[in-house]
Amino acid sequence: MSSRASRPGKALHALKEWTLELFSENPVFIGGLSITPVVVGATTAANGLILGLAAAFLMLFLSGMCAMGGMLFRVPVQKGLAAFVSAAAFIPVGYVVDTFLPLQSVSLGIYLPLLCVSSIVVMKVPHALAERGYRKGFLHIVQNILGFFLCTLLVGIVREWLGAGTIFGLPAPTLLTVPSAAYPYMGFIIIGMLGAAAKKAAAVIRENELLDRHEQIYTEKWVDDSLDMEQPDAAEETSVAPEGAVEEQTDTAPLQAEPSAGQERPVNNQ
Amino acid sequence: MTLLLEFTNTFLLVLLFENTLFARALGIGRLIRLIEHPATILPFCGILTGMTTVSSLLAWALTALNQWFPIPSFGKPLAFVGVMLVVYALTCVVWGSFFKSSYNTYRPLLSPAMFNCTVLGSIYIGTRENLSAVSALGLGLGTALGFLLAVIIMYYGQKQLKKLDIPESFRGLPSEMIYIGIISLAIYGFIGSSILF
Amino acid sequence: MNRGLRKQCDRYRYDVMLCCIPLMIVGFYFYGIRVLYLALINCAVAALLDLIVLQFFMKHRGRWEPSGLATALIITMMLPPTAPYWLGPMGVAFALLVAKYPFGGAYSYAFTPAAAGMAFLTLSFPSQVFAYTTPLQQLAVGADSFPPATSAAGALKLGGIPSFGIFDMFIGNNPGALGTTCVVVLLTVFLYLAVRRCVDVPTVCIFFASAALFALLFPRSAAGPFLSVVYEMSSGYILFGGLFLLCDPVVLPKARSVRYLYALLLGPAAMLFRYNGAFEEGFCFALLICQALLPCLEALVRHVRRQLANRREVAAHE
Repeated sequence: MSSRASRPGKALHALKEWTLELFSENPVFIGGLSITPVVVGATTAANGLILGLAAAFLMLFLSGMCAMGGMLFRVPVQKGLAAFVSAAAFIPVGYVVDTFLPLQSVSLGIYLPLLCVSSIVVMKVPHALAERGYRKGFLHIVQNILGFFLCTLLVGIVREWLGAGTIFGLPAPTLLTVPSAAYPYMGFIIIGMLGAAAKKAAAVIRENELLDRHEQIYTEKWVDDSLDMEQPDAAEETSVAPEGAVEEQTDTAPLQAEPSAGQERPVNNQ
Repeated sequence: MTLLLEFTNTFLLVLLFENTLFARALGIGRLIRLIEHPATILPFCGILTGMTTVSSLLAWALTALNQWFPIPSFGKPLAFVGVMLVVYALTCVVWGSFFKSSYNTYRPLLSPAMFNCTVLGSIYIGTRENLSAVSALGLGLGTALGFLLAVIIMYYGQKQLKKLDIPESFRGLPSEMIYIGIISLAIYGFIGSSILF
Repeated sequence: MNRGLRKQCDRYRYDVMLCCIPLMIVGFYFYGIRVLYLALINCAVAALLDLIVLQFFMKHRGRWEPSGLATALIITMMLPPTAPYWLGPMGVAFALLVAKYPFGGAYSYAFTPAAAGMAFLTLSFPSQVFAYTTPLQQLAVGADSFPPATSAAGALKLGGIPSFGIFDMFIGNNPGALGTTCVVVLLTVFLYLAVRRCVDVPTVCIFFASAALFALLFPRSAAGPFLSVVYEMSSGYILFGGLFLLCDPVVLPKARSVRYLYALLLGPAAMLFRYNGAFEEGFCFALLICQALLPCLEALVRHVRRQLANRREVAAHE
């Protein structure tokens, strides 16, 4: 019965796991990828947003090119070609930022173009597609895009709030501001703190999930044991039911040891 | 003498006070992976030194041509990555032809040492500040050796961190980031806010 | 960390707190009750943070200990008497939440928290950290601004000579941070800490000597090399830092040779930060950098010892 926890339940669980991995396996906080642009570039929420969107565009473009030129990108030079392709993809990004967001372009400095050679673009994308295949690899890349975006946005918001008491230029309640929040040292410290918070949150969620799961198994077993005690003939009916019954018998078998095997044989024969 | 002084000034500035890693945060991800594989530190940094030096010089030459063939800012990454690809290809050909055994041993380190934020960052800094060829050379060398210095400091620092009773959620990358952050704070006490990004 | 070392650390902290009392009395004499309020507020913030973190985040790490209060008092002593009331708490919060707890707490950290807190304040609020005023005036408790004065370190940074005499510098009658100006009291504190074995006397002496040698060889002021040494050593955080920050037992290396190397490196580093750094006083930054280099120094000394031991073995066989 428990294995028929149904496809929607399994899909929900997979989605929960996938979302949890945005924090527990975040490419920046936990994986240590592409820390450079986050530490120096994400000094405001707007900068964080631009960095996240630019990285997303470069990674999606590169994954599309990798999928199309699959064989070519499996040779050892893949990093160089990946950097070249992402530098080419950067042209429209750079043009848009320079033309429509000149202030952010100046404050991002060299750290926006550095995305072209950052590890999350040139290393993660080809590896993900080569190791996991196109479908799972693409999902993994999307997860990394969201994780990086989350990271740059969070770090940018925290630094802008700490440094200027605003978020996206709008005043935010604050007691005091720290003018040096835009310096790289604060980026490192904020990434460290957020990384620890992400690890702790993921550990607590997993622990709760594990406790819930144990409780669920224990409750199901208790319910099944009570049912067996109330309806001793229920064992005959389970011979008609599919795998569930077999699994339950194997679950209880170690507890009931030898005698249960003897009891089950007549059921199976029937 | 003037050239030597110019070279030494740029070299020492970039090596110590505007350190690649602690002041500009270039190459953090690579550092984190290197300190986990200490045997690769020296070969990687040796290759990186060659790559940054040659790339800086080539990029300086490219920028010198900029007055005749101006490159828009959004096209610069493509131009500079092109320079890096050329250097990479030349390195593979020359090294592979003349020193085949060492090339086969260190080949896996070549592309990580070439295509990373440290090399592209140093090219950008050199071209933006309109340095002379000698200063560009000092910048390239100083960048790579500054990276090596930072890796050595963090390698032993990481060993020190392992001896501490760090809480579970801070173990690994979070404590390393805070450690680097405090060192970066100390370096900024020297350079103040004078550094350009 | 074993119990013996924990006791040693706690003893050091209690002694440091005790030594801050005469410095606070001097500060109270020169600047009034504002000094005490500053110290109280910083200590209250440190105690509150310790309580919150130990209660909610590090429950299994046990009992209260005095490192937070010691950090708060050290930071108070390094701030000017005109510091706004929010300045000290910010430094204390940074020291405890960034430099102390993430690395394990009171008996386990890589950098002296007070130095990290002061470095953060100096970089973020330099105009408040170096806003000194003339002594022997009762500073109004609620006031925001005070008549400015240039400290000895500030005058040296500008290439001049301090306008007050040597005697005034010795008794603390000169603009400067609360606990760093009165040389007489600091020397007495040094004696006390040396007798209590809270500071490693050779290490402190090597630090002072290397800093003094640097000042002698590269004098900044036009007053001559010897006077320059006197001015440099009695201004800024050199004396205070050497007594209260250098010998933090958690960070100080166990091996004597490494300690001496560390002190030898710190002296010139502190002076370099003063001479060429962005601020008039850079002792805390220099200390953090030298503490970052400590693991490398330990590895270097171990390597040299091994080489020497191998050579002795080879020589013995021959």
